[in-house]
Amino acid sequence: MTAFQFRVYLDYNSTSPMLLGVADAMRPYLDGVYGNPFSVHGEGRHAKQAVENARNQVAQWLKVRRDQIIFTSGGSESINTAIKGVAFAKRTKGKHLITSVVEHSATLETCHYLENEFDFSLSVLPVDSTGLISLEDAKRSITSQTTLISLIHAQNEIGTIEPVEEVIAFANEKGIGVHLDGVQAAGKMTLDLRALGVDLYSISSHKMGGPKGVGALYVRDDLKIHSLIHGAHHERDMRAGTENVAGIVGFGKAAEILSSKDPSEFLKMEKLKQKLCEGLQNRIKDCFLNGHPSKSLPNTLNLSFGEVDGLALLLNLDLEGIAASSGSACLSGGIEPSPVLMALGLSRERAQGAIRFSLGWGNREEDIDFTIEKVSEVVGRLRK
Amino acid sequence: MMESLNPKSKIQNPKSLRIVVGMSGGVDSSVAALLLKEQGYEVIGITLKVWLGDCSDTGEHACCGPRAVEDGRSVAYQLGIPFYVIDHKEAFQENVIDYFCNEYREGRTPNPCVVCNRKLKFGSMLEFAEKLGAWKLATGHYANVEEKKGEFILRKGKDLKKDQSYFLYTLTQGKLSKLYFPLGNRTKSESRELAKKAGLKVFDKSDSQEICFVPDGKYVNFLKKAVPGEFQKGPMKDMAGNMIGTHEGIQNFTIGQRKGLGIAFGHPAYVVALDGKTNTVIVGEEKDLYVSGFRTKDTHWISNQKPKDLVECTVKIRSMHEGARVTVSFLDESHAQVQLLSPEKAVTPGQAAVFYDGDQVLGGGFIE
Repeated sequence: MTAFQFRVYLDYNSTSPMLLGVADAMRPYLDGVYGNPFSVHGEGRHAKQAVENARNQVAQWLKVRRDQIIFTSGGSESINTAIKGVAFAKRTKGKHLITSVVEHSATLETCHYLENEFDFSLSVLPVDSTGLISLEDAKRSITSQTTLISLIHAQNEIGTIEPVEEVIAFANEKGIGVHLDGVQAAGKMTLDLRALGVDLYSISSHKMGGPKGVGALYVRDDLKIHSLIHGAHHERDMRAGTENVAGIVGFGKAAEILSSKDPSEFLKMEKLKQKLCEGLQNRIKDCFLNGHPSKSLPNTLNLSFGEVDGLALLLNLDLEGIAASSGSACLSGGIEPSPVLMALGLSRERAQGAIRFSLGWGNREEDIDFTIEKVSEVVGRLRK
Repeated sequence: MMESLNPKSKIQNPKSLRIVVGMSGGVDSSVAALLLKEQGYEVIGITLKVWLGDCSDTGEHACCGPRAVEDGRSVAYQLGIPFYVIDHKEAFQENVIDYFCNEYREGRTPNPCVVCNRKLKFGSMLEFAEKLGAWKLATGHYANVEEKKGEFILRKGKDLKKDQSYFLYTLTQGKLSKLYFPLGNRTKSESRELAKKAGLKVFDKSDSQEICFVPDGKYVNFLKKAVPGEFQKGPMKDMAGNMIGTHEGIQNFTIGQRKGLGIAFGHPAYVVALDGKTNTVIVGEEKDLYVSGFRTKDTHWISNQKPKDLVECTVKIRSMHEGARVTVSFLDESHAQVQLLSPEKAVTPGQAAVFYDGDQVLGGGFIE
């Protein structure tokens, strides 16, 4: 990348820049406050205060109690802790788990691990062509052995928001736990976990304007789960290990900033996304939307361009100064089409031609104009 | 702001043109990228990821392993150029590895580099470079492309010890028009010197071996791992057709091989022929290794004017061959008859015969 290149970042679902004020909040804890929050002395108390303050900030943002928040190393650890934690704690009650086909690999791989190594049985809910699961499928999958339903709240590749309220209501009736992977939902829609009535909720700090290497797991307080990382009695015995103090402080600050944001910010983001979608569809023939037209995150736009190699398009956009993604970043570089897009019933060609644009708070109108211009240009050239 | 470049409209200002460099993580392709960057081109590095599973632990000699990708990435970062890894492991398996195994099973000695160049480096990688809007694709090969009277000519590299034109004879006019070999007029030691001066840490990396997926040179071990079921016991015969023993698989042998025959003869014995159809190894004396002519298949001629008559030229029958005088005449679209002016030893089916006029590559084909 040349030094003076104008760059447009449209890959917020991979990671986001930190919100203004987060780095400043972290700085004293990177170089200055070095105490261990577990220590009894002044240095330790200072660090402990910072961690607990951050816990408050995260809890207030999610509208839950502070002692219901466990800090982890990120989204994948939160998801692993939630699923394995419940599966192992309730294994005497039953060994059946339910998830969906559009989950992030952190969920799917964890479930398959329990299935293959610990003899759990697994039901994987299908989705319709827009990426929605159905309550009926969830109901049908439940057995007397089911202990946990783990679903993605908002899908990372296509942005589809799942009908989780209905599933939670039904699962609560049946006494089955529900875990939501909220890694993409956090920071992109208003969250009220108490009203949602969910049992466990996973969040990653770096997808919502905080630093990398930190995340949270909300655990309803009467729920006992096994720890993933054993050791000392940190995080209510659910996560051993000395806290990542600076990371937690930055995460807390990001949560505080998000709490004070007006929900109209999401509408602004949605408008930019609509502008991008319409602009591209007006300019480019055979430009298809992958995902749900309305039940979708305000920032996530997944499009396929007929007869265009998605990887070639993606790399050309990078050279033009636009950062986007072809499906999930964890899978990039491969030529295999995204399993999520294949689950929607798309053809291999259309799935391989897909590009994900995920917007964020740093994007402005001119970024969208620039992107429409460059994508049209590159698609035109690739189709020649 | 970078713009998409149309070579036709920007040809007056070649320095703003976009060039894609195939980077293997070795000295040569790193220096190729360095030179192009210094000349002011917009340079983009790409590496083909070709290894499959068990090849991933190959050492520093291999040019296809994960370490190669990391070296390529790190050099590109140092040069300040974008770098992408393109996954071609399936195409590599189908076009190169499968071909390699099949050829040995059928009693021929394959040349995977020729096939890789044709199908991958100057096949799919070239296509991808064009998709990236590249004016040219550059690599670190020691060879030269020249345009003369509207035709493209492929010549040997200046460093004759490192010359790689042998592996490039399948290039067509269309492909040559899009290729650039920045090291064609340099020697290997100059390249190392340039890399060292520029502070590229790969400057003293050892040369890659001929076959990247057989880094230790023991191709039989590779085959035994890749296609263990294809090793079949078979007869070993003398020139008169008499049974003189058995062998553990035709893949263990190449023409001219002396060692590992498993039989004691009264005279020095050599593998003189391999019959894949009957899985027979034929053993003879040194004199039996000499032939005065052979045929080639998939014969390619670089110039658009395929010769109608006999052509006198020099042939290299393997990459390190010093060359021999021959006449070549096309029998049909694919086949050519090659007559040697004096008999040559160990002409090996499956290897490439490449025709030269001085340092110009005329074409070539696989020995039948």
